[in-house]
Amino acid sequence: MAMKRRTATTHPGERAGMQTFILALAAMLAVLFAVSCRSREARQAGTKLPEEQELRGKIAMLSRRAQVLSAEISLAKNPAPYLAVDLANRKIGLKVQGHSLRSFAISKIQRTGGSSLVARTWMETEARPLESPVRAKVVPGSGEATTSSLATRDPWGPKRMPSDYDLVCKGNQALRIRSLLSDQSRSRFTRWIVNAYLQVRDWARDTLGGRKSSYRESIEIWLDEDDAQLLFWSLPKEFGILVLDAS
Amino acid sequence: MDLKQALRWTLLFLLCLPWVFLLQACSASEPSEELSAQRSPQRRNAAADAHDGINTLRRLARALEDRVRKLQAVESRLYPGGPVILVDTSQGRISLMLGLRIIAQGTCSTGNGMELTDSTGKRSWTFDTPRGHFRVLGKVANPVWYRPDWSYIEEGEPIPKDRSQRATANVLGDYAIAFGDGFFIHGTLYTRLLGANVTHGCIRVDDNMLKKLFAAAQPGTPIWIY
Repeated sequence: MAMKRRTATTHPGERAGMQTFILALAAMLAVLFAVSCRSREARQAGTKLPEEQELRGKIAMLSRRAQVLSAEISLAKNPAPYLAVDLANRKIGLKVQGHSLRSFAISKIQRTGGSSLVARTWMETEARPLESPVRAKVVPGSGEATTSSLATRDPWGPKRMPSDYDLVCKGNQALRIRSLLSDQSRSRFTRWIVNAYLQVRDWARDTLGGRKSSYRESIEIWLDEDDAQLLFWSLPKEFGILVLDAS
Repeated sequence: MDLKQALRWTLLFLLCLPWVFLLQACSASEPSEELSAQRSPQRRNAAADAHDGINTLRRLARALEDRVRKLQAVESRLYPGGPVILVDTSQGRISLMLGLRIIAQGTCSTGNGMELTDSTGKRSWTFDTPRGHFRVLGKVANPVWYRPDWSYIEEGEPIPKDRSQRATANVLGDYAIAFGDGFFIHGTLYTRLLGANVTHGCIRVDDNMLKKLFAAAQPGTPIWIY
């Protein structure tokens, strides 16, 4: 009787407490389980992500290298010299069969139109100087000795070459070479003023003459004046241009 | 709730606590993929996909590495390993190479860049040394020069009709190496002008260099002028 009474008096409270406890326990278990699952996923992701990222980076690099090599080989298998324009490393060079003959540093690059392929090849058809070099005339009957003497007095060489010119390619593409004052020439301030003038002059020439808009795609490259002249001096009649993009 | 009841619940809670930690420890340890797969097909697919993805990337990277290696091998074989003649016209320098190794180097003269027009104004010549790739077409010892028309016009002499009258010996040095369109690498009488751009387009070198070039050059030997 006493037992029965006790059960009757304690059971409702005990049951409610039990229910609360079980609910609290279940909630705590659920929270702990969720936390542990998340930490496990994070650990798994942490181990997989760097490898995946590393692999993706490696693939991108290898893919770029393969494209560059394929494009270069397509030009270099022909023994004719070609121009390699490396926009990423700001270098332009005259090469034969993968071997560099001359290489120059690019000061500034400006481009209009065109695709964003890693490596492309253009075919140059005409070198169009903004000002043609002036050649000395041989007077008929003057004799070879006179010609030689004249040639030594006013020597023909890279210094007589234009420093601003367009290398027009098939498909109305153009590599536009423009010159800046050499680093060695004059004071820094004078160089800055003259270079600013040269760039404004080129911009005005393009804008007023509509030269830039006449090309479907163009890459304007600014070189040291001596380099631009030497590059023009070295160019063969028709040649390929390998354009390695910066992207 | 009296003290006794509170103690009982606390005891129950403490008894449950190890089980909670045990459960957490079990879930934290990485189950095998088979076990995961038994638990959930979706999770199995996700894990398999991730694994396949990494493997695919690895395969792709390996394939690309092979491709790059092959392309590099192709590129390295392009440049000839045999004799090569390089002419740097800006420096007046000629080099005889064996592949990329310099065998001999010397001074040379190249085109003077001048223009000549005949009296009629119909024919003109520009005395440039051509740039680009050429090959040795032939070589001859004790060469005879058959003077072209421009030579007569430059000297103010009448142009002979008979070819034999154009033959002039002892002006091209001991040897001449032809590389096309009437251009030669040859010797010179005007050695003091070597290095200056004074020729009509041919490449003049001194006797010593000419001898080395003549010995090394064979028909087909590449010449790069730049």
